[in-house]
Amino acid sequence: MPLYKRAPITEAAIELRYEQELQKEAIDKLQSRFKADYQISEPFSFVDVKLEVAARQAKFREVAAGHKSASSDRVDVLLIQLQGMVCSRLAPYLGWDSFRDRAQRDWRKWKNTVGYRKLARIGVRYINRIDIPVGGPGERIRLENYVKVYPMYPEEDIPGLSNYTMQMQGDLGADECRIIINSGLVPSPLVRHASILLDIDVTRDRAVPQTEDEIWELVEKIRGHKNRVFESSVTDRARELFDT
Amino acid sequence: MSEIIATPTKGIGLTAMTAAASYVKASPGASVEARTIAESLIGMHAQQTWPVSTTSSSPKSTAAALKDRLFESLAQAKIMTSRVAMHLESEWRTHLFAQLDELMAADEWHEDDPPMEASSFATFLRLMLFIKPQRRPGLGISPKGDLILAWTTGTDRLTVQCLQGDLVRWSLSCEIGGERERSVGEAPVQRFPEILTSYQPARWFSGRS
Repeated sequence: MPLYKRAPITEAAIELRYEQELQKEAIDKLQSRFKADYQISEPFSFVDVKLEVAARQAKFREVAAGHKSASSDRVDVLLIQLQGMVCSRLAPYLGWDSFRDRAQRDWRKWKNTVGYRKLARIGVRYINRIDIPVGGPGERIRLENYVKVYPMYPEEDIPGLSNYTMQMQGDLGADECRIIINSGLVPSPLVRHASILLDIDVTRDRAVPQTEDEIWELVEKIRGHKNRVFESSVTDRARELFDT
Repeated sequence: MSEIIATPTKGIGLTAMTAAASYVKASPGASVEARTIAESLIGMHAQQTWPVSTTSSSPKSTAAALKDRLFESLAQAKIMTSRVAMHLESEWRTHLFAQLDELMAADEWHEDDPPMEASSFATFLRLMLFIKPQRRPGLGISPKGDLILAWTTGTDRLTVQCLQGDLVRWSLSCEIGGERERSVGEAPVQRFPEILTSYQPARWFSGRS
């Protein structure tokens, strides 16, 4: 995959997920262990929502999920979760080598802290945001000029979209991996731009490798698959935006 | 053919499409975009979890609370900058963070001062990426938490207050044709470059700061 001057990557993430959750004590130990590597650390939780339609009730429950450690510029992130580790890099993305090396470093430290536990899932996710300049309100943009993943709809009945969200999932047909693609329009952070999200997540949850070498060999393969899908999902016109 | 119609950024919200037979959660992510995707797909599934970042909720002294508020404000600003970092020069971003670190240092603040408003910073980022000044402005914060930008060239001065909702309030004083002119106003970010045109904004924006 070519190295773009302005890669549209807003987040790159590598997840190593356990079969069984860690105990809270392990989370605290990990958080302490990584203090030297990440200047910021804050707890994070999930809000679990249960809708009981018959009773017309919604129950909200905050569930402690772990710690979010980050560099002082908030770009290098490590999610220390009960289910495992997520190593994340926000924009600006500086390339695969530095990102992967940090993930490997963190995983080694992680394992030294909590010991071996069986992995159930390995995933690599890249969220891209393609920012398209537009002349002004009401200007029409053809999605197919920029991406090859977009909704088809009856044009005679719907003159144009102002919004969409899609998810596609399936077997990748290689390395026993599955793929999830999320795509849609998002409010653009730039003036006079429209923005398309292209979120590619490649995972494996069958016969998951457990040794160090095999884990990172798979991560490299998954990254290759992700690159291939990304390059076949964008057009040359989009690539011009990435190299401006 | 699939066309989208560009609409002003304000007011765009995400609408969930028709629910899929079974919605699958992607690998976790730490970015605003990851949260946006998760929230936009929430309508596809009856039960959904999404991550929230929390800080300790134990009672604090006023001084500690100010420090926390400044910390959160600074964190939000850096995360928001990350979203557009691909459009920023590395040096510009580094300098901006240094300015923000200095601006948000707790010992420079009074306990009643509001920290920088996230919506103001959002306007600031959009303005900077739109007008792309070569010279960086000096930064300050208004009593209401709005980011204030200032450019000075000799006796010519431009001050811009970044308001929420993509609005800017400006005041300027400059010499044109030997006469001093002054102007104040408020306008959307989109209109601001056009308004400035007659005041020859290169006097403030060109060259390196």
